[in-house]
Amino acid sequence: MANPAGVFTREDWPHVAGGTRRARAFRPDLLELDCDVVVVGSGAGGGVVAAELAEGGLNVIVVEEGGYHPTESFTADSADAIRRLYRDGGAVMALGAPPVTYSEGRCVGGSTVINGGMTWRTPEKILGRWAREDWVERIRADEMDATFSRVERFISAATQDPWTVGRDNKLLHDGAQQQGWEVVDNIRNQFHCAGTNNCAFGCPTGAKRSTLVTYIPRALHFGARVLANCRVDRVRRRGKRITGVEGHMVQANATNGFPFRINARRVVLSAGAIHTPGILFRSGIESPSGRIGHNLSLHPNVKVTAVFDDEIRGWEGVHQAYQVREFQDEGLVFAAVNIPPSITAMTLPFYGAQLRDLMRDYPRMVVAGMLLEDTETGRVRNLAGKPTATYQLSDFDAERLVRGTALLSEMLFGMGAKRIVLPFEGIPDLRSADDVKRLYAQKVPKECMELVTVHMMGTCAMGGDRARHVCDSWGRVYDTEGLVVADASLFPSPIGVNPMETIMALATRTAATILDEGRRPARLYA
Amino acid sequence: MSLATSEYLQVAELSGAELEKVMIRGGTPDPKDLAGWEYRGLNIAFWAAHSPIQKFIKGFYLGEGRESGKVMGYNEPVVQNGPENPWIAKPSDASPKRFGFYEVDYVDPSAKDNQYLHALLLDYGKGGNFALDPAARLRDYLVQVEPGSNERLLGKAYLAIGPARISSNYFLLERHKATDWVRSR
Repeated sequence: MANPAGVFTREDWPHVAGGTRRARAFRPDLLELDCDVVVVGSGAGGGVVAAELAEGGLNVIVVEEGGYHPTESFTADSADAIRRLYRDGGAVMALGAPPVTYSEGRCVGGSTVINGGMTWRTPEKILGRWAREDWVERIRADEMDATFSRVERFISAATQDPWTVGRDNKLLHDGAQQQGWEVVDNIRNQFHCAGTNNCAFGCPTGAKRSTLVTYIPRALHFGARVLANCRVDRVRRRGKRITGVEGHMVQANATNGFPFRINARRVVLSAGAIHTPGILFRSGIESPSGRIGHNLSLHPNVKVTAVFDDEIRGWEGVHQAYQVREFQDEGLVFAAVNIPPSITAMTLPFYGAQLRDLMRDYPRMVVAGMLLEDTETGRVRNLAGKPTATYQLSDFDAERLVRGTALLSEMLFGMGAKRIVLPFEGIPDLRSADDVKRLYAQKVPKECMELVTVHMMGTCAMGGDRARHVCDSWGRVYDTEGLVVADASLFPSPIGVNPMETIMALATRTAATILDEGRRPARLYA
Repeated sequence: MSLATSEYLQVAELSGAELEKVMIRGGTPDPKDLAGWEYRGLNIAFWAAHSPIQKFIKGFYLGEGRESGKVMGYNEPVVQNGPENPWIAKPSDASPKRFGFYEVDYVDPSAKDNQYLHALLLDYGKGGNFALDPAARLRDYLVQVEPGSNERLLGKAYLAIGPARISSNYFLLERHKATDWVRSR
């Protein structure tokens, strides 16, 4: 399958358009390219910045560590998808007690290729807090309205067609209504989604409007180049003035291939909240605030697995058609999240015959999860050149997770569940609503919680205070010239909803700022 | 003869960590706005109180001749009579001694002296001082204590010894009086 014009994968090397092989001491294979802006990453941040800048007339190169996998290559083979599309097989941990398993995309399109497609604007109260407490300029809801609208237009944000909603989601919806809870239709970046429930493994119809099928083609149309299978080792600089990036092509066995160097006046880091600070560390860039890698928020998730008497067939219909928002003020959001049997089996706290018997009920299962707006922060550090996250769940957040689990269980029993498997190792399954009452009263040790997340945020927080933040209101890294961050690292605090649209909106305004700077003489932001 | 304001003396009382925060948060003065003014200066360091350079005056002017188009500056020695008392230039207010000249400019991010990109750099190496003058080794960074206002400025001094830059101390400036003095070279 030929790549679109402008996309270069490892098979194309070293024949990259515009690339020259310049003889360098000890590096005879060095491939050198020149452009106006290098964008590191191609997901919700990088894809958007690249398209906006390319359309604005700048010469843009996108560097993506993962491969280029077009829509036609996506199937229901989840194991294959995880190998190809996820970083480190989708199972990296933030160290702590309990550890938090996190997943992020590593492919052209980044995490937008493997996320659930939830497209929510940043809550107004969060934007207000960023303006008030973090001194972020022009971030209030009314000031961001046009930017959000622009993003929503490009990614076709809309609610699902009703016939694509599966029984597990309807059950969540009806259960919430029965309890008198607020439940909302999810807004998703999709155009007549067929409801194949394959969102997390690459949308096989292209209906999910990830950056792979929206912003990246737009960037290519306006002349951008995408270097897939290329890992940025470090940002190059002269003093504090950024001069480009250097790295290696990644070979099929994950070892370093050809070295490359890209010369550019501006570098945009959109490698996510774990790897963006990792690149900054490796590049020796320091922040006056000393806060690079601090302030890591995770939106820890737990899930419950409910077994019903009737067949639910949770794999039929779209992933997360609704969200229960009744407890959003407490930082809790619920959704139904069917996952394939192989992964379900892996996450259930049973072995041998017990697991076999439970998996026989897979067609009768509803998996419901919750997102927690966390109050504790972790940290990313570089260990042996690799960014490593540490995170310690607070007692307060742990109590809220137990409460959320109990609420979800109560609702599922109300809808006829016969058994609920909890995400707390060593805590017995619930068999009735009476058991839920016991759960409310029970002290669940944090260490036995099984936490996962796909929302890493905050490690290069933006704000108006150089002594507290890493980046200014527009993503420019303080005390550098020409270095910008455009991903979830920028969030000064967790947002309590799915972060994709917030990342895209921030990336849009960052791109506008870069274009605006290009129209006037270079001047430091200070 | 004006005295230091209470705000000035309060800033001078801050700890090193707090001064560093002021330094990081400070605004960037426009060099041209400083020209034509003298500032009363106070070195803030444990050694300063009993040294002959705790108090000083810094002046700024628009260069002429070889310095044309640049904002330059100088230092004046003053009577060391404590921060609560007036700044009296030596040997006299009418004809003070001027020494330790420097060039004032924005920080070049790619240059060696780039500790604070949002500060102004007072580069004594470009001030026309004698090569062996110890003052020529100084590099000062200057920010506005209250962003947008040039009334009070916080500085941080570094010593340039070969490629090394050694942090010396903070100093505080407050607008003292207008001046039309220009160095003729």
